[in-house]
Amino acid sequence: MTIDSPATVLLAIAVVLAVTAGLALLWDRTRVPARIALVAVVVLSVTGTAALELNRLTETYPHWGDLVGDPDAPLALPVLPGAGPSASVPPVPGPPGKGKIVTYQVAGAAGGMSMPMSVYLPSEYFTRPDLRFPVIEALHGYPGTPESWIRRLEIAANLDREIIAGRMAPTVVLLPYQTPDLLLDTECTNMTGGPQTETYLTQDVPKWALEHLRIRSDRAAWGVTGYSAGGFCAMNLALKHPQQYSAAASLSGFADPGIKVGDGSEKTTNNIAWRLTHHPQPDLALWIGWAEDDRNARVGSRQIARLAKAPLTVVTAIVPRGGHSHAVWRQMEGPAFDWLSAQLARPAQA
Amino acid sequence: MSLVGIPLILLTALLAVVAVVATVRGWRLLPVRIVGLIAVEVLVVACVGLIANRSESFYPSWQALGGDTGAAVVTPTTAGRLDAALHAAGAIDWSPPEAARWETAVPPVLIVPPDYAEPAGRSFPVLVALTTRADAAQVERTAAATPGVVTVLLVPTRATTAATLGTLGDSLSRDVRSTASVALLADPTWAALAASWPGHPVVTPGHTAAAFATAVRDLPSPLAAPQRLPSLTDQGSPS
Repeated sequence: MTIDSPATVLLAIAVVLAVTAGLALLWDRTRVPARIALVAVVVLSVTGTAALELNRLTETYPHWGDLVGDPDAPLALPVLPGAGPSASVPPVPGPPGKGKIVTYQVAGAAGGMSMPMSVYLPSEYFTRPDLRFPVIEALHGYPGTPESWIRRLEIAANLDREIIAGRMAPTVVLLPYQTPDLLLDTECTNMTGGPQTETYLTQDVPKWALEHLRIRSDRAAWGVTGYSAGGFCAMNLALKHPQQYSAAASLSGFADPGIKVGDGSEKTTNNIAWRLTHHPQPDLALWIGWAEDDRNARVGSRQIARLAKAPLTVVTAIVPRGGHSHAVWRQMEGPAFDWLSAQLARPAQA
Repeated sequence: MSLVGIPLILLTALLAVVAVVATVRGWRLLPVRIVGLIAVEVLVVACVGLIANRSESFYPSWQALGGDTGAAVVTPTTAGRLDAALHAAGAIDWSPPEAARWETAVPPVLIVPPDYAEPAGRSFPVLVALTTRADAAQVERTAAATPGVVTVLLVPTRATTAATLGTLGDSLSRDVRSTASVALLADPTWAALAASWPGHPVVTPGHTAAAFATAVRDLPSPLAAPQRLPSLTDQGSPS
């Protein structure tokens, strides 16, 4: 039974009902210490059930093992077979027309982080070995993991559908972690005395991908996207590293990180509104989407759209309602990826 | 009653208190005890959830909670006005009404690639080739053999400027299945004109087959009309 299945939550609810009934039945037959223990068990079961449901929504701990594992130890994952050119050939293609998600361990020299990264390889990756593909980094929210993209937002099915419909060119999509500690919100920044996530995502991940995957290296073929915290990340990273990315799409992102980075940069260099008013704007294309009833994302997104000046370009996408939820992001996935693909350089001969 | 309103939170909290009082008072009766405890648990969790939801607007309405976003993804279809002629000929002398002001030496030529018809309905990025009378025929042949891009062949004059060509994009998107992605191929004669092009697209010097390949490589793929959501411009309010 997986940690994020509805059956697990239902079982937890059954446990709550059982221990509650147990407390009621045993109350008259027990003394004070046992009664305290009974209450503690009931409270634990209720909070545990609520936590399971929250975890199911956010995929913070996508596997049971993530709860008990040493957070610093890399997860046991399939790694690329061999080294050199053979490493660029992933093991088995998926069914025709279907891309494949493969997970690798990506150790970053510059950022000092070593985390798993899931990679969507389009069907054409296996049928067209002569081509190098455009790349999109897709960042998850907080709390969350790449599994949120895979399980809650069904990214592979969405990408397959858009590529088959011809609305998107075959594209490699990278799903990196944006934090080494599942309960630490980094907002993809280099935190003072903490993880160097910005460096990991903008240097180590691209370097690893170029060494191991058949992708294009030029900025014209690199884009970045994300939802919620990942939406802020996508805009902030692209604006800070326009030599790495030519387009970014934000799904319900904010204009500021909402955390303390440690050097005060949440008010300056890691604040999009500050950057747009204090620095020359780069030649970059932004797609900014939000739900009109999601107050924080709406205010931040509108502010960014208002501050943007040439050569920076902004396209907005508005969902009437839905708040800050997966329903909104599922609605935005197709439009955001279609737009990104229409900005990025095409698959090309190696 | 609004999902994120104070009244619902107060009502839930009040019910939680009522449930606690009723459970304590009816403690002697086992059914009251069990149902009361469960009611307290549900109401306390609901109250905490409502407060968190109000502060972060995860689900600002009952509709949002039900996964209703009220959005329709629009996939607009775009056909070029000259598609029939272009499918038949591959290249045509192009004389839209706007061309009178472009001040070119000869009428522009519109050239579609060998893959323009198949698969149907895709829009192509655009190559604008700024060339000379002498090279025009050769450039037209190269363009016709280059897949994945629509080419506009222009032979400018000294009177041609980026400003006079301002209507080119609109004319193109009306007449041929094309996107806003543009790259330039420029004969050395027209380097200054190319450099002043609106939007500053990438300029590749020359117009050999290799120059075509280089320019096309950095353009997006021909794509079907994207899924689209309403934008601020659609709403008519810039802020």
